[in-house]
Amino acid sequence: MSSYAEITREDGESTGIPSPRLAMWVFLSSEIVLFGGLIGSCILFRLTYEKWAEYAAHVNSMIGSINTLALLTSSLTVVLAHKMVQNRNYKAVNIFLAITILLGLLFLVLKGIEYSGEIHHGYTILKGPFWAFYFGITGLHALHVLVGIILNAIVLMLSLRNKRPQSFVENSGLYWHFVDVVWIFVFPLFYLS
Amino acid sequence: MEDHTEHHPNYVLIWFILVILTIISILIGKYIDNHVLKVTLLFVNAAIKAVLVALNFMHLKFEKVVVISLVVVPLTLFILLIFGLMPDTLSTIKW
Repeated sequence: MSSYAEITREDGESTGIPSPRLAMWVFLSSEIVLFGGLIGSCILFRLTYEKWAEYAAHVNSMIGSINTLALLTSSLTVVLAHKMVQNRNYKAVNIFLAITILLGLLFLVLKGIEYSGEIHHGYTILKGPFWAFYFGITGLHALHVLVGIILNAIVLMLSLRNKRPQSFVENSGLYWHFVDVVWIFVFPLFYLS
Repeated sequence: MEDHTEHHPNYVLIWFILVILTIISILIGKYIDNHVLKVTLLFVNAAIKAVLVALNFMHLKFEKVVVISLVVVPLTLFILLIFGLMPDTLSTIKW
């Protein structure tokens, strides 16, 4: 009879996909439902809400554009970190992970400046449907960016201590790309439409 | 165990295409006045960018069916949500 550990290991590998990666995809699947529901309802609301463009004119599209570039570039650096792990170029892994974390921090700092300006002008989450959607969705996204930064920082610290499982870089990278994909939809919704 | 990430697309080229598509979306937002056309074009553009990231950066194009289904099933629910509520939206929309 197989031991529990053997059964668990065999079950995890029965799909031919490493268990940590499969677990991350299951988690991301639930996140698609969460953000899909929010963004989908927001798109439908935007089509019927005539004052949307009027309110959207008050958000800072320059900061939104810089943040878009920051997240797209961070997606590039995190996937390059993953590639460098496979090439066993660990110095490059650390550099790319550090750049990813810095770009994530840049995103949050700029978002904080943006929020501060909007709240200063009286646009709070209670100001109306546009601002409720705006602060709700961008706030939830910013929380995900923060979690992604923490994950990447943990992976970087492990890497600096010569503990470099490829799956850590791969899975924190998958999460980070998902955060980028969400922003790809959030950016046009609030800053361009 | 298969390591799908032995294959590496040209990541810098993908990033460059994503930046170009972002610039196009900014131009759409600035120069198209009809809000229905604008929203449609913006989200088609966003969908193309999302697919590029998922296929290349997240290596979805090298994944097995089980992982692809984990993405396709919730996306199908998302599309059902949109089309299920669309009649209500279309009845109140001002073109």
